[in-house]
Amino acid sequence: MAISTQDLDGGVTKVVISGRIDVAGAKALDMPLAVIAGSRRSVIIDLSGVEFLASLGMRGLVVSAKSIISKKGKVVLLSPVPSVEETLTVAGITELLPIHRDEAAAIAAVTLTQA
Amino acid sequence: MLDDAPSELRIGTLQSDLARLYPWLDELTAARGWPSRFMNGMQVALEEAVMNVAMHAFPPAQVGQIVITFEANDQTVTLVVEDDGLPFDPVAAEAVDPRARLREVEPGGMGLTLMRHFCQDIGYERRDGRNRLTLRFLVPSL
Repeated sequence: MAISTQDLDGGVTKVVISGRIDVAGAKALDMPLAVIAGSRRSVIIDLSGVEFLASLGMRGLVVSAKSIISKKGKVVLLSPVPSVEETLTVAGITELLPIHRDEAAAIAAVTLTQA
Repeated sequence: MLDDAPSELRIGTLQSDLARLYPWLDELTAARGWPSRFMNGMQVALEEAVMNVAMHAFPPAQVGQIVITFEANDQTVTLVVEDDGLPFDPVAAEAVDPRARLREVEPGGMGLTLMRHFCQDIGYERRDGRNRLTLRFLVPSL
């Protein structure tokens, strides 16, 4: 499992995760995701390089998403592979973490309108 | 030919031990040429079953033992997860709408929904002081 972040225009942060989010991967994700959730409010999580995701990893994503949303932020998922998308959909978390397949649409979805 | 004798994995409930699940299952299934979607469902369901045991069947700070048995033929894969922890029946755990569960983010919250989706059937029994969860998967026709 590997994770990196890129700062895009408009205060949007793209988090790129790759590899397997199994028990070990989920544990390794906890701290970096907590840091991102604590400091960013417009977040795209790019899952295109994730080969495997199960319940423990989804819990980590949900906890981070709830933290971001509770601070009036926005978070979406980008381009999961079909098996990962199936798991996300069955678990029912795509309502909280909508899936986008197009980066421009994902950026628009998380961009906060100025008050 | 591929109707093998059951294979068994014994692991503790520490997270470092739980990670042994995947290479064990990969090794057992490598030669079978099963589709990745099927393999993915089996791994998701098994991780859920084992995490349930690790989180619910033993008091905090107690390391328990889990025995997983894999048996397969051309039609069916059977994974049995056994432990000697407290009685815990994930099948009887209330099947709540996963969207409602999100508000609580309970550990194990999405589990039964996931297992039911990927398994053909799930059975639980408490026998001789042990939890025994049986996950059965239908091998897709190739």
